[in-house]
Amino acid sequence: MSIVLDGTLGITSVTGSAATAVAGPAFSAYLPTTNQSISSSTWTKVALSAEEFDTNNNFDSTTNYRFTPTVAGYYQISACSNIDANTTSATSVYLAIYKNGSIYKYTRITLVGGNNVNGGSTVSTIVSLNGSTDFIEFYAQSVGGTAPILTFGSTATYMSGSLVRGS
Amino acid sequence: MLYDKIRALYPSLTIEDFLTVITLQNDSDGKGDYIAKWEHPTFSKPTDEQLAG
Repeated sequence: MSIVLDGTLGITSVTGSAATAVAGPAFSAYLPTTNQSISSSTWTKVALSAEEFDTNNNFDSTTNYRFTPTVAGYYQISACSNIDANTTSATSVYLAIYKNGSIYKYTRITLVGGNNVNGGSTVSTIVSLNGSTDFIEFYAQSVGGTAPILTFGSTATYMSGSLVRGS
Repeated sequence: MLYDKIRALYPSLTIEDFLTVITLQNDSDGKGDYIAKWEHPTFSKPTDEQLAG
């Protein structure tokens, strides 16, 4: 393989065999069949009990609903939910990516209006995982209102991720 | 709910407290809500007896 690097233009040509993408773990898991209500001021794990794909069998969709990759590196993780406010008062819903049982990143959406008011929210990050004991989970909680609902379905409430760079 | 019991014990706790120094959690494992973190500078962590009362 040959790469020509110009001091002004950067890489100007690449010849030879193409680079091969890293075949690291990738998964997509979702909330199937039943909506999940979210308690007030209580971080509740989203029960992602179904999978679209799980290339390295690193996502536990049966017991702990967590991703524990067996390859060390940096992972792009995204968690998303379509939320039904389920109340006539304002309610905020927090979505969080947990690492090893603690909040790693979170986002918030506030819904105002009434029953059947819906909103979508996503939290996304790149996180370093050691390939053995580190794990990722998806949690949510509400503030105000009464038990908003995370809408079920692979297109509505899900978490996905993949290796983007080795450690 | 655990949150309601704690608010009844300590009415002056704020929503912000539950986002910072207090973490209530439910792991969707059938075991219910629990206190995952209690670092409030003034109020002590409720005992099981207080929460059961």
